[in-house]
Amino acid sequence: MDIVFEQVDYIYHANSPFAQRALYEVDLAIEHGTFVAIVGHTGSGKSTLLQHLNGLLVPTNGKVRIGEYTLTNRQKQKQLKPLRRKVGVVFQFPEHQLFEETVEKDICFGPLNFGVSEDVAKQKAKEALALVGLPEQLLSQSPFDLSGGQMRRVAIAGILAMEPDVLVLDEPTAGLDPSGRKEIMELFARLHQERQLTTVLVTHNMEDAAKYADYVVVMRQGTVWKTGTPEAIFHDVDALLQIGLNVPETVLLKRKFEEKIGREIPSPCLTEEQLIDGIKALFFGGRLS
Amino acid sequence: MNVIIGRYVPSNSVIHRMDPRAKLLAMLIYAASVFLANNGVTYAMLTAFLLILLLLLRVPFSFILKGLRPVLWIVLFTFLLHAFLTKEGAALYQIGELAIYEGGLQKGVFISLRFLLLIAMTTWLTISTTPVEVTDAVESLFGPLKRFRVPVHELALMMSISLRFIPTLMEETEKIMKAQAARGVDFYGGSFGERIKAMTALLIPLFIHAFQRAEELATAMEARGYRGGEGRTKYRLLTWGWIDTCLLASTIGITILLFLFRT
Repeated sequence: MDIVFEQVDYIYHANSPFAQRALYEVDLAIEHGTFVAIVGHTGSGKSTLLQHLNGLLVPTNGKVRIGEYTLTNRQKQKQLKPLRRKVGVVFQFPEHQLFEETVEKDICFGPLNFGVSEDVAKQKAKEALALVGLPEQLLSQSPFDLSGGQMRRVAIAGILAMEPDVLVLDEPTAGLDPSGRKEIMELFARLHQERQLTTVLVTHNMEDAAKYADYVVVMRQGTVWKTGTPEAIFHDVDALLQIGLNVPETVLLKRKFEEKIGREIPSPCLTEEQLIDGIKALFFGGRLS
Repeated sequence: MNVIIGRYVPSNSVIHRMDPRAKLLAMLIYAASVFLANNGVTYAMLTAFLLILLLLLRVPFSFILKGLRPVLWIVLFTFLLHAFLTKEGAALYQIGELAIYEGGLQKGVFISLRFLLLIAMTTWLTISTTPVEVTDAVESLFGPLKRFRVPVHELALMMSISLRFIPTLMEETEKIMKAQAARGVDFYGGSFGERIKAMTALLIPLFIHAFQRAEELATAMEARGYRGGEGRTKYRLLTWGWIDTCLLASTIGITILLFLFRT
Protein backbone atom coordinates (compact mmCIF):
# COMPACT_ATOMS: atom_id res chain seq x y z
CA MET A 1 0.00 0.00 0.00
CA ASP A 2 1.35 3.38 -0.93
CA ILE A 3 1.44 5.87 1.90
CA VAL A 4 1.21 9.59 1.19
CA PHE A 5 1.24 12.49 3.66
CA GLU A 6 -0.06 15.77 2.27
CA GLN A 7 0.56 18.94 4.26
CA VAL A 8 -0.06 17.17 7.54
CA ASP A 9 -0.20 19.23 10.73
CA TYR A 10 -0.73 17.64 14.07
CA ILE A 11 -1.46 19.55 17.26
CA TYR A 12 -1.75 17.79 20.61
CA HIS A 13 -4.55 19.10 22.84
CA ALA A 14 -5.70 21.45 20.10
CA ASN A 15 -7.75 24.41 21.33
CA SER A 16 -6.55 24.24 24.91
CA PRO A 17 -3.83 26.06 26.84
CA PHE A 18 -1.81 22.86 26.58
CA ALA A 19 -1.87 22.88 22.79
CA GLN A 20 1.39 21.64 21.40
CA ARG A 21 2.24 21.41 17.78
CA ALA A 22 4.08 18.27 16.82
CA LEU A 23 3.97 18.18 13.02
CA TYR A 24 4.28 21.07 10.59
CA GLU A 25 3.08 20.62 7.02
CA VAL A 26 4.62 17.22 6.54
CA ASP A 27 4.80 15.94 2.99
CA LEU A 28 5.99 12.41 2.60
CA ALA A 29 5.51 9.57 0.16
CA ILE A 30 6.30 5.95 0.91
CA GLU A 31 5.98 3.62 -2.02
CA HIS A 32 4.57 0.14 -1.66
CA GLY A 33 7.20 -2.44 -0.83
CA THR A 34 9.93 -0.11 0.36
CA PHE A 35 11.77 -0.24 3.65
CA VAL A 36 11.87 3.24 5.11
CA ALA A 37 13.75 4.34 8.20
CA ILE A 38 12.63 7.43 10.07
CA VAL A 39 15.35 8.99 12.16
CA GLY A 40 15.46 12.14 14.22
CA HIS A 41 15.88 13.56 17.67
CA THR A 42 13.58 12.87 20.59
CA GLY A 43 10.68 15.26 20.09
CA SER A 44 11.22 15.63 16.36
CA GLY A 45 7.79 14.19 15.64
CA LYS A 46 8.73 10.64 14.67
CA SER A 47 6.29 8.93 17.00
CA THR A 48 3.51 11.32 16.10
CA LEU A 49 4.08 10.65 12.43
CA LEU A 50 4.07 6.92 13.05
CA GLN A 51 0.72 7.00 14.83
CA HIS A 52 -0.87 8.49 11.74
CA LEU A 53 -0.05 5.35 9.81
CA ASN A 54 -2.92 3.37 11.30
CA GLY A 55 -5.18 6.18 12.36
CA LEU A 56 -4.35 6.19 16.07
CA LEU A 57 -3.94 9.88 15.43
CA VAL A 58 -5.60 11.73 12.60
CA PRO A 59 -4.13 14.90 11.14
CA THR A 60 -5.31 18.22 12.56
CA ASN A 61 -4.90 19.64 9.07
CA GLY A 62 -4.02 18.00 5.78
CA LYS A 63 -4.50 14.36 4.88
CA VAL A 64 -2.86 10.99 4.99
CA ARG A 65 -3.56 8.44 2.30
CA ILE A 66 -2.81 4.80 3.00
CA GLY A 67 -3.75 2.58 0.10
CA GLU A 68 -7.46 3.16 -0.43
CA TYR A 69 -7.93 4.86 2.94
CA THR A 70 -7.80 8.60 3.44
CA LEU A 71 -7.45 10.08 6.90
CA THR A 72 -8.51 13.62 7.64
CA ASN A 73 -9.58 15.36 10.83
CA ARG A 74 -13.15 14.20 10.29
CA GLN A 75 -12.26 10.55 10.61
CA LYS A 76 -14.40 8.49 12.99
CA GLN A 77 -12.49 6.01 15.17
CA LYS A 78 -14.91 3.21 14.38
CA GLN A 79 -14.21 3.04 10.68
CA LEU A 80 -10.52 2.43 11.21
CA LYS A 81 -10.56 -1.26 12.05
CA PRO A 82 -9.98 -2.55 8.50
CA LEU A 83 -7.05 -0.17 8.16
CA ARG A 84 -5.56 -1.42 11.43
CA ARG A 85 -5.62 -4.99 10.20
CA LYS A 86 -3.49 -4.01 7.23
CA VAL A 87 -1.08 -1.83 9.15
CA GLY A 88 0.60 -3.65 12.03
CA VAL A 89 2.32 -1.44 14.55
CA VAL A 90 5.00 -2.72 16.90
CA PHE A 91 5.26 -0.06 19.56
CA GLN A 92 8.25 0.73 21.69
CA PHE A 93 8.55 -1.90 24.41
CA PRO A 94 5.74 -3.97 22.91
CA GLU A 95 6.02 -6.47 25.78
CA HIS A 96 3.97 -3.99 27.81
CA GLN A 97 0.89 -4.96 25.84
CA LEU A 98 0.90 -8.62 26.87
CA PHE A 99 -2.03 -9.52 29.07
CA GLU A 100 -3.37 -13.00 28.37
CA GLU A 101 -2.95 -16.15 30.42
CA THR A 102 -0.96 -17.97 27.78
CA VAL A 103 1.37 -16.97 25.00
CA GLU A 104 -0.94 -18.64 22.48
CA LYS A 105 -3.96 -16.63 23.58
CA ASP A 106 -2.01 -13.42 23.48
CA ILE A 107 -0.77 -13.99 19.97
CA CYS A 108 -4.28 -14.98 18.87
CA PHE A 109 -5.74 -11.82 20.34
CA GLY A 110 -5.04 -9.61 17.31
CA PRO A 111 -6.24 -12.04 14.62
CA LEU A 112 -9.40 -12.83 16.65
CA ASN A 113 -10.19 -9.14 16.96
CA PHE A 114 -10.06 -8.90 13.21
CA GLY A 115 -12.54 -11.71 12.79
CA VAL A 116 -10.33 -14.71 12.09
CA SER A 117 -11.73 -18.02 13.30
CA GLU A 118 -10.19 -19.59 16.37
CA ASP A 119 -8.58 -22.54 14.58
CA VAL A 120 -6.97 -20.31 11.99
CA ALA A 121 -5.80 -17.93 14.71
CA LYS A 122 -4.14 -20.79 16.59
CA GLN A 123 -2.43 -21.92 13.42
CA LYS A 124 -1.20 -18.40 12.82
CA ALA A 125 0.02 -18.13 16.40
CA LYS A 126 2.12 -21.25 15.92
CA GLU A 127 3.61 -19.88 12.71
CA ALA A 128 4.27 -16.46 14.17
CA LEU A 129 6.01 -17.94 17.19
CA ALA A 130 8.27 -19.96 14.92
CA LEU A 131 8.97 -16.85 12.85
CA VAL A 132 10.28 -14.95 15.87
CA GLY A 133 12.46 -17.91 16.75
CA LEU A 134 10.76 -19.23 19.85
CA PRO A 135 10.04 -22.92 20.57
CA GLU A 136 6.49 -24.19 20.32
CA GLN A 137 6.43 -25.33 23.96
CA LEU A 138 6.10 -21.72 25.00
CA LEU A 139 2.57 -21.52 23.58
CA SER A 140 1.00 -22.88 26.75
CA GLN A 141 3.10 -20.80 29.15
CA SER A 142 2.17 -17.53 30.76
CA PRO A 143 3.80 -14.61 28.95
CA PHE A 144 4.74 -13.14 32.32
CA ASP A 145 7.02 -16.07 33.13
CA LEU A 146 9.22 -15.39 30.13
CA SER A 147 12.45 -13.42 30.00
CA GLY A 148 12.38 -9.84 28.76
CA GLY A 149 13.73 -10.76 25.33
CA GLN A 150 11.25 -13.60 24.93
CA MET A 151 8.37 -11.34 25.94
CA ARG A 152 9.43 -8.88 23.27
CA ARG A 153 9.38 -11.65 20.67
CA VAL A 154 5.98 -12.90 21.75
CA ALA A 155 4.60 -9.36 21.46
CA ILE A 156 6.08 -9.02 17.99
CA ALA A 157 4.60 -12.39 17.07
CA GLY A 158 1.24 -11.01 18.17
CA ILE A 159 1.51 -8.35 15.48
CA LEU A 160 2.91 -10.65 12.80
CA ALA A 161 0.03 -13.08 13.31
CA MET A 162 -2.30 -10.35 12.03
CA GLU A 163 -0.45 -10.66 8.70
CA PRO A 164 -0.34 -6.95 7.97
CA ASP A 165 0.69 -5.49 4.62
CA VAL A 166 2.46 -2.59 6.25
CA LEU A 167 4.70 -3.16 9.25
CA VAL A 168 5.43 -0.16 11.40
CA LEU A 169 8.20 -0.52 13.96
CA ASP A 170 8.88 1.98 16.71
CA GLU A 171 12.38 1.26 17.98
CA PRO A 172 11.73 -2.45 18.12
CA THR A 173 15.19 -3.21 19.47
CA ALA A 174 15.38 -0.66 22.28
CA GLY A 175 16.80 -2.24 25.41
CA LEU A 176 17.90 -5.50 23.77
CA ASP A 177 21.44 -6.83 23.84
CA PRO A 178 23.46 -6.60 20.59
CA SER A 179 22.85 -10.18 19.48
CA GLY A 180 19.12 -9.95 20.25
CA ARG A 181 18.99 -6.69 18.36
CA LYS A 182 20.62 -8.19 15.32
CA GLU A 183 18.34 -11.22 15.34
CA ILE A 184 15.22 -9.11 15.54
CA MET A 185 16.34 -6.75 12.79
CA GLU A 186 17.31 -9.68 10.56
CA LEU A 187 13.84 -11.10 11.15
CA PHE A 188 12.19 -7.88 10.01
CA ALA A 189 14.47 -7.65 6.98
CA ARG A 190 13.61 -11.23 6.03
CA LEU A 191 9.87 -10.71 6.49
CA HIS A 192 10.07 -7.56 4.44
CA GLN A 193 11.53 -9.58 1.59
CA GLU A 194 9.41 -12.70 1.88
CA ARG A 195 6.04 -11.09 2.42
CA GLN A 196 6.76 -8.04 0.28
CA LEU A 197 5.79 -5.73 3.08
CA THR A 198 6.05 -2.03 3.30
CA THR A 199 8.18 -1.49 6.38
CA VAL A 200 8.51 1.73 8.32
CA LEU A 201 11.17 1.68 11.00
CA VAL A 202 11.54 4.47 13.55
CA THR A 203 14.99 4.25 15.09
CA HIS A 204 17.80 6.04 16.84
CA ASN A 205 20.22 3.50 15.59
CA MET A 206 21.90 4.81 12.47
CA GLU A 207 23.61 1.50 11.77
CA ASP A 208 20.21 -0.16 11.44
CA ALA A 209 18.90 2.65 9.27
CA ALA A 210 21.94 2.42 7.00
CA LYS A 211 21.88 -1.34 6.78
CA TYR A 212 18.24 -2.17 6.26
CA ALA A 213 16.47 0.83 4.78
CA ASP A 214 15.92 1.69 1.12
CA TYR A 215 15.15 5.25 2.09
CA VAL A 216 15.91 7.34 5.14
CA VAL A 217 13.64 10.14 6.31
CA VAL A 218 15.26 12.63 8.67
CA MET A 219 12.79 14.45 10.89
CA ARG A 220 13.61 17.69 12.62
CA GLN A 221 11.37 19.90 14.75
CA GLY A 222 8.17 18.47 13.38
CA THR A 223 9.08 18.59 9.73
CA VAL A 224 10.75 16.31 7.23
CA TRP A 225 14.24 17.72 7.06
CA LYS A 226 15.62 15.45 4.37
CA THR A 227 14.81 12.23 2.57
CA GLY A 228 17.04 10.08 0.45
CA THR A 229 18.83 6.79 0.11
CA PRO A 230 21.10 5.89 3.01
CA GLU A 231 24.10 6.57 0.75
CA ALA A 232 22.91 10.11 0.06
CA ILE A 233 21.82 10.88 3.61
CA PHE A 234 24.95 9.60 5.31
CA HIS A 235 27.23 11.12 2.72
CA ASP A 236 26.69 14.54 4.24
CA VAL A 237 28.20 13.72 7.61
CA ASP A 238 28.62 17.31 8.82
CA ALA A 239 25.03 18.32 8.17
CA LEU A 240 23.76 15.41 10.26
CA LEU A 241 26.21 16.02 13.07
CA GLN A 242 25.27 19.66 13.06
CA ILE A 243 21.62 18.95 13.79
CA GLY A 244 22.70 16.64 16.58
CA LEU A 245 22.26 13.30 14.85
CA ASN A 246 24.76 10.54 14.48
CA VAL A 247 26.03 8.73 11.45
CA PRO A 248 26.97 5.07 11.42
CA GLU A 249 30.29 4.31 13.12
CA THR A 250 31.65 2.91 9.89
CA VAL A 251 31.05 6.21 8.09
CA LEU A 252 32.95 8.05 10.82
CA LEU A 253 35.79 5.56 10.61
CA LYS A 254 35.89 5.95 6.85
CA ARG A 255 36.21 9.67 7.29
CA LYS A 256 39.02 9.47 9.83
CA PHE A 257 40.80 6.94 7.69
CA GLU A 258 40.57 9.14 4.62
CA GLU A 259 41.88 12.15 6.56
CA LYS A 260 44.90 10.16 7.76
CA ILE A 261 45.98 8.68 4.46
CA GLY A 262 44.67 11.41 2.23
CA ARG A 263 42.78 9.15 -0.12
CA GLU A 264 39.18 8.34 -0.65
CA ILE A 265 37.64 4.96 -0.03
CA PRO A 266 35.47 4.28 -3.07
CA SER A 267 32.46 3.05 -1.08
CA PRO A 268 29.82 4.67 1.14
CA CYS A 269 30.89 2.29 3.93
CA LEU A 270 27.42 2.01 5.45
CA THR A 271 28.09 -1.39 6.96
CA GLU A 272 31.11 -3.17 8.35
CA GLU A 273 31.32 -5.37 5.26
CA GLN A 274 31.35 -2.39 2.93
CA LEU A 275 34.04 -0.72 5.03
CA ILE A 276 36.24 -3.82 5.00
CA ASP A 277 35.79 -4.23 1.25
CA GLY A 278 36.51 -0.56 0.71
CA ILE A 279 39.76 -0.66 2.65
CA LYS A 280 40.76 -3.93 0.98
CA ALA A 281 40.23 -2.30 -2.38
CA LEU A 282 42.56 0.52 -1.39
CA PHE A 283 45.35 -1.76 -0.24
CA PHE A 284 45.10 -4.65 -2.61
CA GLY A 285 43.79 -2.78 -5.59
CA GLY A 286 47.36 -1.62 -6.17
CA ARG A 287 46.68 1.99 -5.41
CA LEU A 288 48.53 1.87 -2.12
CA SER A 289 51.79 0.04 -2.40
CA MET B 1 -7.81 15.36 27.92
CA ASN B 2 -10.54 17.84 28.58
CA VAL B 3 -10.62 17.45 32.31
CA ILE B 4 -9.14 20.59 33.79
CA ILE B 5 -10.33 20.03 37.37
CA GLY B 6 -7.36 19.55 39.61
CA ARG B 7 -4.85 20.63 37.05
CA TYR B 8 -1.98 22.97 37.77
CA VAL B 9 -1.43 25.83 35.32
CA PRO B 10 1.97 27.45 35.62
CA SER B 11 2.13 31.22 35.97
CA ASN B 12 4.00 33.73 38.07
CA SER B 13 1.05 35.44 39.71
CA VAL B 14 0.89 36.62 43.32
CA ILE B 15 -1.31 33.66 44.11
CA HIS B 16 1.10 31.18 42.53
CA ARG B 17 3.94 32.50 44.68
CA MET B 18 2.03 32.32 47.94
CA ASP B 19 2.75 29.82 50.66
CA PRO B 20 0.69 26.70 49.91
CA ARG B 21 -0.26 26.49 53.59
CA ALA B 22 -1.93 29.89 53.34
CA LYS B 23 -3.79 28.85 50.20
CA LEU B 24 -4.89 25.54 51.64
CA LEU B 25 -6.12 27.18 54.85
CA ALA B 26 -7.88 29.93 52.89
CA MET B 27 -9.56 27.31 50.72
CA LEU B 28 -10.73 25.30 53.74
CA ILE B 29 -12.02 28.34 55.62
CA TYR B 30 -13.76 29.63 52.53
CA ALA B 31 -15.33 26.25 51.82
CA ALA B 32 -16.67 26.11 55.37
CA SER B 33 -18.00 29.64 55.28
CA VAL B 34 -19.84 29.07 52.01
CA PHE B 35 -22.32 27.15 54.15
CA LEU B 36 -22.90 30.23 56.32
CA ALA B 37 -24.34 32.27 53.48
CA ASN B 38 -28.11 32.32 53.39
CA ASN B 39 -29.18 35.56 51.73
CA GLY B 40 -28.38 37.76 48.74
CA VAL B 41 -25.84 39.98 50.50
CA THR B 42 -23.79 37.12 51.88
CA TYR B 43 -23.73 35.27 48.58
CA ALA B 44 -22.71 38.46 46.82
CA MET B 45 -19.81 38.92 49.24
CA LEU B 46 -18.61 35.36 48.72
CA THR B 47 -18.83 35.70 44.95
CA ALA B 48 -17.00 39.02 44.91
CA PHE B 49 -14.21 37.66 47.10
CA LEU B 50 -13.78 34.62 44.88
CA LEU B 51 -13.77 36.72 41.72
CA ILE B 52 -10.94 38.84 43.11
CA LEU B 53 -8.96 35.71 43.95
CA LEU B 54 -9.58 34.29 40.47
CA LEU B 55 -8.55 37.54 38.80
CA LEU B 56 -5.29 37.53 40.76
CA LEU B 57 -4.46 34.13 39.25
CA ARG B 58 -3.64 35.72 35.90
CA VAL B 59 -4.85 32.63 34.07
CA PRO B 60 -7.24 33.18 31.15
CA PHE B 61 -10.77 33.25 32.47
CA SER B 62 -12.10 31.10 29.68
CA PHE B 63 -9.80 28.42 30.97
CA ILE B 64 -11.27 28.49 34.47
CA LEU B 65 -14.74 28.34 32.98
CA LYS B 66 -13.72 25.35 30.94
CA GLY B 67 -12.67 23.69 34.17
CA LEU B 68 -16.13 24.23 35.58
CA ARG B 69 -17.89 22.86 32.54
CA PRO B 70 -17.96 19.19 33.57
CA VAL B 71 -19.81 20.04 36.79
CA LEU B 72 -22.23 22.39 35.07
CA TRP B 73 -24.71 19.56 34.55
CA ILE B 74 -24.78 18.74 38.24
CA VAL B 75 -25.29 22.42 39.00
CA LEU B 76 -28.13 22.68 36.52
CA PHE B 77 -29.72 19.51 37.84
CA THR B 78 -29.57 20.78 41.43
CA PHE B 79 -31.08 24.05 40.33
CA LEU B 80 -34.01 22.41 38.57
CA LEU B 81 -34.61 20.00 41.41
CA HIS B 82 -34.81 22.80 43.95
CA ALA B 83 -36.74 25.11 41.70
CA PHE B 84 -39.49 22.57 41.12
CA LEU B 85 -39.67 20.85 44.47
CA THR B 86 -39.61 23.77 46.87
CA LYS B 87 -43.08 25.15 47.45
CA GLU B 88 -42.57 28.44 49.24
CA GLY B 89 -43.70 31.99 48.51
CA ALA B 90 -45.84 33.06 45.61
CA ALA B 91 -46.28 30.86 42.55
CA LEU B 92 -44.51 32.44 39.62
CA TYR B 93 -45.29 30.11 36.81
CA GLN B 94 -47.63 27.23 36.37
CA ILE B 95 -47.40 24.46 33.78
CA GLY B 96 -50.07 21.91 34.53
CA GLU B 97 -49.09 20.08 37.70
CA LEU B 98 -45.68 21.72 37.89
CA ALA B 99 -45.33 25.10 39.45
CA ILE B 100 -42.35 27.28 40.14
CA TYR B 101 -42.50 29.24 43.36
CA GLU B 102 -40.51 32.30 44.29
CA GLY B 103 -38.92 30.53 47.23
CA GLY B 104 -37.96 27.60 45.04
CA LEU B 105 -36.33 29.80 42.46
CA GLN B 106 -34.33 31.55 45.13
CA LYS B 107 -33.29 28.34 46.79
CA GLY B 108 -32.31 26.85 43.43
CA VAL B 109 -30.11 29.83 42.65
CA PHE B 110 -28.46 29.77 46.06
CA ILE B 111 -27.76 26.07 46.17
CA SER B 112 -26.32 25.93 42.68
CA LEU B 113 -24.26 29.04 43.42
CA ARG B 114 -22.95 27.33 46.52
CA PHE B 115 -21.87 24.41 44.36
CA LEU B 116 -20.18 26.66 41.85
CA LEU B 117 -18.36 28.63 44.52
CA LEU B 118 -17.00 25.50 46.16
CA ILE B 119 -15.77 24.05 42.92
CA ALA B 120 -14.34 27.34 41.68
CA MET B 121 -12.45 27.75 44.95
CA THR B 122 -10.88 24.31 44.75
CA THR B 123 -10.03 24.96 41.11
CA TRP B 124 -8.38 28.19 42.27
CA LEU B 125 -6.20 26.17 44.61
CA THR B 126 -5.22 23.46 42.15
CA ILE B 127 -4.55 25.87 39.30
CA SER B 128 -2.12 27.86 41.43
CA THR B 129 -0.55 25.11 43.51
CA THR B 130 1.32 22.03 42.38
CA PRO B 131 0.26 18.75 44.02
CA VAL B 132 3.67 18.53 45.69
CA GLU B 133 3.15 21.92 47.29
CA VAL B 134 -0.25 20.83 48.55
CA THR B 135 1.29 17.76 50.12
CA ASP B 136 4.01 19.83 51.75
CA ALA B 137 1.36 22.11 53.15
CA VAL B 138 -0.64 19.15 54.46
CA GLU B 139 2.43 17.67 56.10
CA SER B 140 3.33 20.97 57.71
CA LEU B 141 -0.18 21.81 58.88
CA PHE B 142 -0.83 18.38 60.33
CA GLY B 143 2.67 18.17 61.82
CA PRO B 144 1.47 18.65 65.40
CA LEU B 145 -0.54 15.42 65.11
CA LYS B 146 2.75 13.48 65.15
CA ARG B 147 2.63 13.74 68.91
CA PHE B 148 -0.45 11.58 68.88
CA ARG B 149 1.40 9.00 66.78
CA VAL B 150 -0.40 9.89 63.60
CA PRO B 151 2.02 8.95 60.77
CA VAL B 152 1.78 12.37 59.14
CA HIS B 153 4.97 12.10 57.15
CA GLU B 154 4.12 8.67 55.78
CA LEU B 155 0.62 9.76 54.82
CA ALA B 156 1.98 12.84 53.09
CA LEU B 157 4.54 10.71 51.27
CA MET B 158 1.83 8.31 50.12
CA MET B 159 -0.17 11.25 48.92
CA SER B 160 2.69 12.76 46.98
CA ILE B 161 3.68 9.43 45.46
CA SER B 162 0.17 8.75 44.28
CA LEU B 163 -0.13 12.26 42.89
CA ARG B 164 3.24 11.91 41.24
CA PHE B 165 2.16 8.73 39.46
CA ILE B 166 -1.16 9.94 38.15
CA PRO B 167 0.36 11.44 34.98
CA THR B 168 2.62 8.42 34.58
CA LEU B 169 -0.31 6.05 34.81
CA MET B 170 -2.35 8.20 32.44
CA GLU B 171 0.48 8.15 29.95
CA GLU B 172 0.82 4.42 30.31
CA THR B 173 -2.93 3.94 29.92
CA GLU B 174 -2.80 5.90 26.70
CA LYS B 175 0.15 3.89 25.42
CA ILE B 176 -1.44 0.54 26.18
CA MET B 177 -4.76 1.65 24.72
CA LYS B 178 -2.98 2.58 21.54
CA ALA B 179 -1.05 -0.67 21.41
CA GLN B 180 -4.24 -2.68 21.89
CA ALA B 181 -6.17 -0.51 19.44
CA ALA B 182 -3.47 -1.36 16.92
CA ARG B 183 -4.31 -5.02 17.60
CA GLY B 184 -7.93 -4.38 16.74
CA VAL B 185 -9.46 -3.56 20.11
CA ASP B 186 -12.34 -1.15 19.86
CA PHE B 187 -12.49 0.91 23.06
CA TYR B 188 -15.35 3.05 21.83
CA GLY B 189 -17.99 0.54 20.91
CA GLY B 190 -18.86 -3.13 20.63
CA SER B 191 -21.01 -5.44 22.71
CA PHE B 192 -20.81 -5.71 26.50
CA GLY B 193 -18.59 -8.79 26.31
CA GLU B 194 -16.24 -7.11 23.87
CA ARG B 195 -15.96 -4.12 26.14
CA ILE B 196 -15.09 -6.29 29.11
CA LYS B 197 -12.42 -7.95 27.03
CA ALA B 198 -11.12 -4.55 25.94
CA MET B 199 -10.91 -3.45 29.57
CA THR B 200 -8.93 -6.55 30.61
CA ALA B 201 -6.52 -5.93 27.74
CA LEU B 202 -5.95 -2.50 29.22
CA LEU B 203 -6.10 -3.10 32.97
CA ILE B 204 -3.96 -6.20 33.30
CA PRO B 205 -0.84 -4.68 31.72
CA LEU B 206 -1.50 -1.47 33.61
CA PHE B 207 -1.66 -3.21 36.99
CA ILE B 208 1.33 -5.39 36.31
CA HIS B 209 3.39 -2.33 35.56
CA ALA B 210 2.09 -0.37 38.50
CA PHE B 211 3.20 -3.16 40.83
CA GLN B 212 6.57 -3.48 39.14
CA ARG B 213 7.07 0.23 39.39
CA ALA B 214 6.11 0.32 43.06
CA GLU B 215 8.70 -2.31 43.79
CA GLU B 216 11.35 -0.47 41.82
CA LEU B 217 10.52 2.75 43.61
CA ALA B 218 10.79 1.09 47.02
CA THR B 219 14.17 -0.37 46.10
CA ALA B 220 15.39 2.95 44.77
CA MET B 221 14.31 4.74 47.93
CA GLU B 222 15.92 2.19 50.19
CA ALA B 223 19.12 2.29 48.16
CA ARG B 224 19.30 6.00 48.86
CA GLY B 225 18.87 5.51 52.57
CA TYR B 226 15.23 6.40 53.05
CA ARG B 227 14.14 5.51 56.57
CA GLY B 228 10.94 7.44 57.08
CA GLY B 229 10.42 10.97 58.29
CA GLU B 230 12.71 10.92 61.31
CA GLY B 231 15.43 13.54 61.02
CA ARG B 232 14.64 14.20 57.39
CA THR B 233 15.25 17.69 56.05
CA LYS B 234 13.31 19.45 53.31
CA TYR B 235 14.50 20.59 49.93
CA ARG B 236 11.65 23.02 49.43
CA LEU B 237 11.20 25.16 52.51
CA LEU B 238 7.86 26.82 53.00
CA THR B 239 8.16 30.51 53.80
CA TRP B 240 5.30 32.47 55.25
CA GLY B 241 5.27 36.12 54.15
CA TRP B 242 3.09 39.14 54.84
CA ILE B 243 1.06 38.43 51.72
CA ASP B 244 0.11 35.03 53.11
CA THR B 245 -1.04 36.67 56.31
CA CYS B 246 -3.08 39.07 54.15
CA LEU B 247 -4.80 36.23 52.35
CA LEU B 248 -5.61 34.39 55.53
CA ALA B 249 -6.77 37.55 57.29
CA SER B 250 -9.05 38.55 54.46
CA THR B 251 -10.56 35.07 54.30
CA ILE B 252 -11.22 35.16 58.02
CA GLY B 253 -12.56 38.70 57.52
CA ILE B 254 -15.07 37.42 54.99
CA THR B 255 -16.16 34.70 57.40
CA ILE B 256 -16.75 37.30 60.14
CA LEU B 257 -18.72 39.47 57.71
CA LEU B 258 -20.83 36.46 56.80
CA PHE B 259 -21.63 35.91 60.46
CA LEU B 260 -22.71 39.53 60.71
CA PHE B 261 -24.83 39.69 57.60
CA ARG B 262 -26.49 36.29 57.54
CA THR B 263 -30.06 36.11 58.54
